Amino acid sequence: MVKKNLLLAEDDELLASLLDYRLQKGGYNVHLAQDGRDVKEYLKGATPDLIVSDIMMPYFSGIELIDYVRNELNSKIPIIIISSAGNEENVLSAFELGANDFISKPVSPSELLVRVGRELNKQ
Amino acid sequence: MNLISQTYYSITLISAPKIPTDLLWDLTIVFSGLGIFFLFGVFIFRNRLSNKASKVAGQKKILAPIVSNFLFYETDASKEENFEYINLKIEIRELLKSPFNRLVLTEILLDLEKDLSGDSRDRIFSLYQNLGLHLEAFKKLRSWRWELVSKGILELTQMRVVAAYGFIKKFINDKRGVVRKQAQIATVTLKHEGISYFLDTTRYGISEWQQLKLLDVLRNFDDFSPPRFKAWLTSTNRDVVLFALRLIKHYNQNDASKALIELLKHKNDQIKSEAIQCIKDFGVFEALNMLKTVFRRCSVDIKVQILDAISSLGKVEDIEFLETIVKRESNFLVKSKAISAINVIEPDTYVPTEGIDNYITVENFENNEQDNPTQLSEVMKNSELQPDDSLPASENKEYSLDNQDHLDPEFEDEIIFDLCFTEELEDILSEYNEAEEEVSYLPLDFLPVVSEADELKSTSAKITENRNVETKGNLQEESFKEELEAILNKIKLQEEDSINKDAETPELEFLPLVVEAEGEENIENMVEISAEEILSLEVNAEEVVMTNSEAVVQNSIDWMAFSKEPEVFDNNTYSESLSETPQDDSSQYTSSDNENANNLKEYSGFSIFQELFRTCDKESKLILMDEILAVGDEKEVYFLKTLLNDPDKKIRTKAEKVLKELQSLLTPEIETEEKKDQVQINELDAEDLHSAEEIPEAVTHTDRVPISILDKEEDSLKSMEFCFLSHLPSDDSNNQTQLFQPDFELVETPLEEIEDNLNNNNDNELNEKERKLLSPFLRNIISFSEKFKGKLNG
Repeated sequence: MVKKNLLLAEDDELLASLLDYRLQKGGYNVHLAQDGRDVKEYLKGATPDLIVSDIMMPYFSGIELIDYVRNELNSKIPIIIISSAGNEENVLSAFELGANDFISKPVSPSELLVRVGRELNKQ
Repeated sequence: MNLISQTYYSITLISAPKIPTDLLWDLTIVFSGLGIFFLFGVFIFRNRLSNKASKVAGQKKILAPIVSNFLFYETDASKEENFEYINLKIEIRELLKSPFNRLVLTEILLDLEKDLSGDSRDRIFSLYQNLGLHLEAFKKLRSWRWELVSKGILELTQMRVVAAYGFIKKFINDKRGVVRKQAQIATVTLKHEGISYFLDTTRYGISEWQQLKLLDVLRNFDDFSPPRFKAWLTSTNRDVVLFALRLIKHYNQNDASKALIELLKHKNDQIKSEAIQCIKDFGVFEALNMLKTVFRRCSVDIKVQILDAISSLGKVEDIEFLETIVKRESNFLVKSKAISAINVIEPDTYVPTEGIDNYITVENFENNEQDNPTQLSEVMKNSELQPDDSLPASENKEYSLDNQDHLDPEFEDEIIFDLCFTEELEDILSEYNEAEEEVSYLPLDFLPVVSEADELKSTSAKITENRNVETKGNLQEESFKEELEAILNKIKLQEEDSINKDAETPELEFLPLVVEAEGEENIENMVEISAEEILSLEVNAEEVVMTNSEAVVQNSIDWMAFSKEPEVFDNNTYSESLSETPQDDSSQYTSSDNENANNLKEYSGFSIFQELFRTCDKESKLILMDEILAVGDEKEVYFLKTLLNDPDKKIRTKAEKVLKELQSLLTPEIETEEKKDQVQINELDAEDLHSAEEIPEAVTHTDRVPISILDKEEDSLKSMEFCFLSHLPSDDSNNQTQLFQPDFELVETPLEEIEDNLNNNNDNELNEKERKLLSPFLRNIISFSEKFKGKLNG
């Protein structure tokens, strides 16, 4: 069975590595991106099956990432947003721009795994 | 010389001290050295810190996967995974020997504890203790440095090391504030019973912020059953009592009524305030007396709170207490609150008094009514009350004339609305009658039935009298039609009343006058005309004698009332005489004798200029008179004659001049038309007179209509009131006879009467056509004034 490719954009290295480990253990190929620039670079050369992105990132926020994917790349890649609790405005903006799902911090890796699976199954 | 030597002596000048340059150099070297040393120290420390941070970051990168592996290890993993897990355990044991690695691992777990939730978080807690990292934290508790102790407590609290509870609770009353506060939170967090221990033992004050943090900890507990916090209301620690009160309010523990009442006597305002809030929230009615008792001794803020509590708990008996506060209290805030509390207990006890004009009372209003009967009648009319008939009509007339320039525009609107409403109803009725023959059912259910029950009964009785045999469906339709007509009649009756009271009310002056009379005397003369006189009556060229049934005469009366020419007609007198001698109607209402004919010679139809003159100034009046000359006809002649008595000399002169010119313009035209139609009219008159003789109880009524109009085409008509005549065929003598039926002039006659006439009279077709004529005629009349005004206004 071909593993699905995920792009995980998270600036917190520790959390990113933990989630990376969990997602890989869940059966996905994960590409880690530390900030928006990495994301852009990666997206120029590859098309992941799903993007998991933090909203607050240096250089290129999660909102801008959604806008970039939806409007510039005209891609319908499922995007799951990770945001800290109480950041409703950003979450609403993300959904308006075309985010598919949202998960709040502190993150439950098991929950994220379920959500990723659900979004990929929708496709 | 001695004298000189004593007087003058050498003055030593101020000279700069000798600077020891060597010392200066030494100092420069020392301070420079210190500066360099300081900068070097900063550099070294900064480098050390950054190195350590980079080392930690590097170590974190190494340890993070190990931690991840430990966190997400599952017992049902494969052999390879199990092997890897065992290797990692061995590796991490080696790593844990280094304090630095322990530090890094602790940091990793503390960071992850913040970012993760769910079962991963629980695994972090377990891993922290399994790796023995909590022992490091315990060591910190023994440190003499408060920051280390605080850090140790925080670490143990974050990692939920319940075993540390016993160690940490000792710091609850620590003299170091930071350690104490950290210990308080840790105690409450680590065990559910921690809050009880904390409230029992704490001796220091609990800041507001600390209380909030503790409350937040309690709120985030799962399966927390809070203790009965009333137990701590007896605490000697004021902050414990305050916090307990807040917790009681938060957890709605309403079993502390007695303690709450007792706390109203507390010296501390904060405690009092919280107790009052609890009393108010829990509805402790027993506290009312205590609230009243302590009220006097309280500060303004507490007084306001007490009044607030009384307003929600109090009863009518408490109003007396509140009244005394209103009277005695000098503080505006307290006084206002007391008033509002009274109004809450018994609404509308206090009404607004500020800025109220006390002279406006109901009595004054009644006096105004007495002083101003016209306004009263308007009010009564608007409220569908019967106006006082005691006042003579002439007085009302005068008053109305005096005040006609000051009429309320809204009142004018109401009249216009009534007219429009009447018109619309008549349109509906006419449409209904038109369609009656073709359609068996007309869906008029959408119209509201507003007739009174009595009227409906009377109308239905009428129907049964007039029509012996009718189907059920027809009866329903007829009753509905009658309801509509009853509405019409009601409106018209109101207008009749207004005519009686407000003679010459200008709002209806624009309606055409089709009957000319010159006052009550003429009418009385008309009434007294005998049947013989009628028979011997010679109809001249300008007269038409119309005969019809009694009902039709009644219609003509209504129309006359509607036409509002009280100067000519006293409607009451007329109708009264009708009701008194119904048998002699034919003699009473045959009014076409020569004398009356002469009196009625001048056609006094409504002139639109009359309406315009009412509201315009002198200059405009003069301009309008020029317009009269251009567009005027007989009606304007009459109107110009009334202007001959105008108080203004200029207007009088101008009116006289215009009148002469207008008369000279109109005379030849009328004469030629008169000659032209004389033959036809004589024939018609003869026929009508015979029919009047034949019908028993018939009433002949004479009205004057310019004959010339009857045969003219639409474009030749000068008056809009007669435009409808153009639709009538002029060659048929029968149709012409129809024109001379009273209904011809009864344009505004209520359709109910026409309907009665329909029932009584065999000429159904004739009345159908009459009805058809009414609505366009009304529309023309009403719209004409508006159109004319619109044109004048540009």
